[in-house]
Amino acid sequence: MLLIFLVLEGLALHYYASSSVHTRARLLSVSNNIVGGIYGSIAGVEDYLNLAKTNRLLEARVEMLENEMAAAREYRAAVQRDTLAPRVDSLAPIFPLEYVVARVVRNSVDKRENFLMVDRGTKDGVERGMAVVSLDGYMVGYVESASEHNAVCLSVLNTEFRASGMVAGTGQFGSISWSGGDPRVVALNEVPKYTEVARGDQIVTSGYSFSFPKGIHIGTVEDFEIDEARASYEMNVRLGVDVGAVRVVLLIKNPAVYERIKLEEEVLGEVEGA
Amino acid sequence: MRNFLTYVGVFVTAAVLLQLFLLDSMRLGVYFAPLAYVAFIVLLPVNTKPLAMLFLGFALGAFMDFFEGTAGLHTATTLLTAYLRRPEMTMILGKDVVGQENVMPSVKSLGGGKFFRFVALAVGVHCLVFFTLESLSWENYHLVLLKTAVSGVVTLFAVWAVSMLFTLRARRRI
Repeated sequence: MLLIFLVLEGLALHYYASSSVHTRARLLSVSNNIVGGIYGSIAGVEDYLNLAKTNRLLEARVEMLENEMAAAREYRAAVQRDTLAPRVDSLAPIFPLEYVVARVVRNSVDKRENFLMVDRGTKDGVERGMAVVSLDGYMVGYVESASEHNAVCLSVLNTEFRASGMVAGTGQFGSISWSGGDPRVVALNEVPKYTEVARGDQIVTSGYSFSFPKGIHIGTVEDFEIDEARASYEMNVRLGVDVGAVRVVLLIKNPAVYERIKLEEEVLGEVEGA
Repeated sequence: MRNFLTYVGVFVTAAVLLQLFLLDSMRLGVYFAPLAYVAFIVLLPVNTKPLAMLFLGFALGAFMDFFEGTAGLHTATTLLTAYLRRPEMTMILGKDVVGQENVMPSVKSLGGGKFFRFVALAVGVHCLVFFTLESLSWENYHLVLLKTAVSGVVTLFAVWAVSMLFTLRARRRI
């Protein structure tokens, strides 16, 4: 009896120890195909109770976008009057961003590895590596695994989550991670110690990490100390968003990033195949 | 057969309805992570054979791992809980109780004191092992202990609620 127990226990522990965060996200992605619909209904009830808040977020977003549109129209008109200016077409970014809006159907904050499940998948253009951002523009996570009708995203509140964060206005950046403690606070390390930092400074994405375009809000500096051995800051950053309460997210695809992932996967595939 | 159906009911109530759909949808902070599904193992008939216990523990753990994406973590913990159940019962309830046929642990069948002591021990070990394995480090271990305490109490309450539900139902049927 002890032997059977030890064998089974060994198997389970081995599987746990050898699985990667991607394996676990795939597992969730598969099981979500079965229970995702039910979670969708439960989330529907929560959505209903949160309608007022979601509406306010949307109104704020509409206002922001209208303002940006107005500025862009003015700019275009000015450029069109000035025949010596470059053609308007050439103002389009080389790598345009693509957006998908998705509802969060399942989310957690109580684990070491928290994931968000959203109700859009490859059919809606969701791909691995897309940035997940809240409606008010804060970093929430990135897509780890996408199936046809849903996707599993790594939450900021996942000890495996990494992103590159920058002290806004300085250009100095470091690595964002979560320790598994307070769900409203993440760590920002490796920012060089000669950077000027004060409590309350804005932290945004640097654009150097895997998924995130430059300038997405993360939060504000709560406190910091300097690690003399590494000549860098160890900061605590208060997240600007309550990840557990996020109901609707924007998935942002940055084709440049996506091509890099594909390239990396191909190279890795070749290395493994060789 | 009726016993079998009862335990299918316990499984669905504890693991699916309570754990996956109700408790997992509640986000009340990092320390609120009840493991109510373990009620299925804790509430099996007192005389369940050790081999059957192991098999059911493995099945329940694998089920939870699949739906929570934890890859082996629930299985490893639940197997241990299933393995330890008989020694725990013998220790708290005594040998003669463990031998009884078809008795589901409940306040009615064991008495309040013994029932809660047994469930608290089983649930406490389960939660402590689970959160320790989850964090995989001794750093900030007081947070693991806090999480075990908060989630353990909620789990204990959940196990009691499931046992109440199924003993009430059994009484009504008679």
